[in-house]
This record gives sequence, C-alpha cells and structure tokens, in this order.
Amino acid sequence: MDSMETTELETPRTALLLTRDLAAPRALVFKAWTQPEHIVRWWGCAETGDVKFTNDLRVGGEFSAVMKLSNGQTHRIFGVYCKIEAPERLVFTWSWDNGEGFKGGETLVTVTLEETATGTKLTLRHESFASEDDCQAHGEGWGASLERLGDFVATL
Amino acid sequence: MTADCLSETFQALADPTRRAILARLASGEASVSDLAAPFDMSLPAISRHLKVLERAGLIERGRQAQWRPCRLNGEGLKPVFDWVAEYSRFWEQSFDRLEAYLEEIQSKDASDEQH
Repeated sequence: MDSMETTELETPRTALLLTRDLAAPRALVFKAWTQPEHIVRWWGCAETGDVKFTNDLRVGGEFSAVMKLSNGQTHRIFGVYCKIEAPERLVFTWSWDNGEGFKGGETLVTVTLEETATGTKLTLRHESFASEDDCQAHGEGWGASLERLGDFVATL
Repeated sequence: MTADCLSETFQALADPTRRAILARLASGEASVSDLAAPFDMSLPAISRHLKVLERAGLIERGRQAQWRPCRLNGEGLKPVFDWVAEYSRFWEQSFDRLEAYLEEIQSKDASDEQH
C-alpha cells in the first residue's frame, strides 16, 4: 500500500502535531473516528488490550475508552466533545485515570480531515492542557505566547 | 502514563498571563515590575501569579531582598515536554492500526460488490 506519513513535533513541544495520509475517502475516515464499532478496531497502542468504547457524539457529549493494559491496570481515557463538524473536524478534551487514583490533567485534541488526491490527510493536534475556555475558543494564545519556551528548553 | 505531579504544572500553565510571563522569562531573568509592565494588573496580582509558577517549579526567584529576579526553571518544564513523547507513541500506533483497518474494510466492501 502506497501511503506517505510524516510526524513532527511542533516547537514549542507543548502541542503535539501528527499527520498521516490515509488511502480512504474522508467520510469513511470520519466514520472510523466517530462510531464505536469502528473505533475499537484501531484505538490504542501496544500496551492496551481490548477497548470498551462508549460515545455520545454531540457537542457536550462524553466519550470513554476503557482498556485493560498489559501490566494488569485498567486505564480509562475520557473526554467531552467540543466541536463536531462532519466530515472534517472533531475537537474533544482528553483526560485519563488508571483506576487507582492517578489522574491526568485535561488535554485537548483536534482532529482535522482534508480530502487529497489519494484519499484523506489526517492532522491531529494534541495540546498539553485544556480548560473550559479552550473548549469554547480553543487554541487562542497558547501556542503564540510560548513560542520561545521551546527554544529555551532546547538550550538546557 | 505520567502521574499526578503534572496537574499542578498544567494548572499553572492554564492561564494566559502566566504563559506570557514564562514567555518573557525565556529571554532572560526579570524583576516583578519588569514582568508587570505589559499587563494592566497590580504588582500584588502579578506576585500571586509568580507564586503559582514558583510552587509548580516553573520559575525560581533570587534571594536578594530588594530585587528578587525571576528566572525560568528548566527542570520544572521538562515534564511538560516529556508528556509529548508518550502521547506521540499512543497516536502513532493507533494511526498504524487505523490505516490497516481502513484498508481492510475497503477491500471487504470491494469484494462484497463483486459478488
């Protein structure tokens, strides 16, 4: 299969930016991202086993992915949809807990799908925190105000 | 994934004024009044922001009584940057599987159409 992929870390590395060219029509990719029976087939990394996914696909609706990790822990990733613009954009918050009281701070994910000559370009932006304000007007100010921090850390 | 210690860091970062202060400190140490200058904010208000940043380990303050310069603490920022590596791995592996899954369901659709 002939697909190109690129991965880059934005500076500052407080937001993760990933892209992937997929050989599939955009409507299908959007479906794969939003319907639980599709999501469970691809969601997760090497340490995550079977995923139980529940999804309330509407703005303000919650999703939850419960995964049994290879180390025996049960890990839950959950969040709230901030924006749903089928078939091109999804914005949702992202939090997790490990079932033993550890919780991660809320972060923010933006998925953008663009049609290309060969299928769909998927762009995912995962920002290192989220707040209610971000959910309403996400992305404002955060990247710009920290531009120099990445350079600073690089000099350490 | 990382433990609870990140929460305080992220909470400290989840404020535009504090992020602007950090951005200013990236170009060198500064006094409280230097840091307050661009904002329409009292010195005590700026001091409160600095306390939050200091508690989260993102900045350090000098000990001179009168001029307590603030500077960035790179060690405090490191967990924020480590966070990226972890999520990068999660998503890359998910995308690999998504790619394979899309291929699988499309070839299935195509063979269904032929029959």
